[in-house]
Amino acid sequence: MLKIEKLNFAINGKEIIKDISFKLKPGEKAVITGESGTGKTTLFRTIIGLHKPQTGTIEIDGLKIEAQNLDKIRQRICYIQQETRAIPDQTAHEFIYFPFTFKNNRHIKPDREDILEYFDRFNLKRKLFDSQMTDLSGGEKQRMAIIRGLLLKRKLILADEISTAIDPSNKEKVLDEIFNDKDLTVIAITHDETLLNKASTIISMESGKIASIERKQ
Amino acid sequence: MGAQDIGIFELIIAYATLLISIGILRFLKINLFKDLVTSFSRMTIQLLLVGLYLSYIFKYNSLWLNCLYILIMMAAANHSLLKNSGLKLQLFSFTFPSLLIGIGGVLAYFTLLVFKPEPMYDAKYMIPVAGMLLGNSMNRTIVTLERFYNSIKQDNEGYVSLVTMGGSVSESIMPYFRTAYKAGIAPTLANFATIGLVSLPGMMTGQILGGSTPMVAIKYQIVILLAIYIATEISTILAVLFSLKRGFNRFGFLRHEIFKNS
Repeated sequence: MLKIEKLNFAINGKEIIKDISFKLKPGEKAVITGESGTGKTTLFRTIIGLHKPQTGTIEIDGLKIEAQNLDKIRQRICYIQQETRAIPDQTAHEFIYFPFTFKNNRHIKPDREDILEYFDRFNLKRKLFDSQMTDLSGGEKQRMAIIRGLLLKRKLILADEISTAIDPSNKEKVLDEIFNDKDLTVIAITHDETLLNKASTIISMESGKIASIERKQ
Repeated sequence: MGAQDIGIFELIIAYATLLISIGILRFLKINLFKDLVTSFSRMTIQLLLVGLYLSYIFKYNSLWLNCLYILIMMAAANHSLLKNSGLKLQLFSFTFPSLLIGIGGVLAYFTLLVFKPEPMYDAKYMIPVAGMLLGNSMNRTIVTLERFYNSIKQDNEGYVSLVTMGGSVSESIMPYFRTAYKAGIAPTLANFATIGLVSLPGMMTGQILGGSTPMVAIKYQIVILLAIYIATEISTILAVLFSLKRGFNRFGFLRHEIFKNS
């Protein structure tokens, strides 16, 4: 599903990612750990095409990260960030629906009941659907972003510290929804024990390099 | 009948009113004397030069000379709008066509169908109308471009998430564009709403001083305001649209190097 080979990335001569290679099979649930500044988020940003690597290749479902493959790749991935950003004056339903107005996603527009079922499963009150995003707590916003990501029905989820804003009582439910889906390939940056326990693969990074890859039996 | 001439002595009396401002600056101990002198000196010299070459342009009244002069005005306005919106001049060739189409198109429409001067390219119509359209378009485009690119820059993470969810540049920019558009249009609408009540526009005042009846001056003013509105609308939207090619990379992400302070 995800294949990274000999990836190197530097900013102003400073190497951030050094010779990274690994593969994830479809359905694999991997987490990346490591201290701050070891290049984890930069690696994600390189996977989504925000950074252009100096050398090496990234392939998603056999497609190289190149401009001509962009639409196909973006129909396969979903990047959920640590901090959920909403446009000013946006309501929760506008926040969730907005990406489904994109030409690439119009065919999968979910109906209201699909969304509200996710609300129930993620312990979000249904009335929040019409609330302003600015009125929601960090954890509620984060759960909205995860719901939106799941509704997009992508094959690969890139999750950057998604559990930090979610309170412990809801964290398990939300993570189970992602980690128990056999068809979904997940790669998550985390320091969270709950996520580390749920993952099938743990990739440790140190100073821009992969220190170890542990695959649980 | 034209407006009564103003003599040198009367001009000096007019400039003497600046002494009030100089006194205020000294009293408040605000060190802006040099800026005040520079600004008013520049304004005087620039207007004297304009007066000088406009008298030649009006005298020769040639279509090509008029068009050349308007193109120079557009280039100056384009330079100024990029400088004041915090963007690099490398966007010049991307935003220039927006003024060319917005101003040129509206000028041609109103000249050919509304003003109908004789000859059609009469400099007395073309140049001042183009100047008014350009000045207003430049101001609105500055606000819109500045707000548009800065709001994406400030919310880069939010923008990135939209692009990675499959949004094209034109789809993902839309919320930011709507905010920038509202910011750009607000002063124009506020200004229009108070015209006649709070302010008498310069053109109308000039026409009345030049001997036109108030009703003729008002009709011209209404037409000019409509022309200004539609020219600013077209040129502002096109400036954003044309700048996208330079402002975003092949992956749809914002190019931070377009900002002057990058």
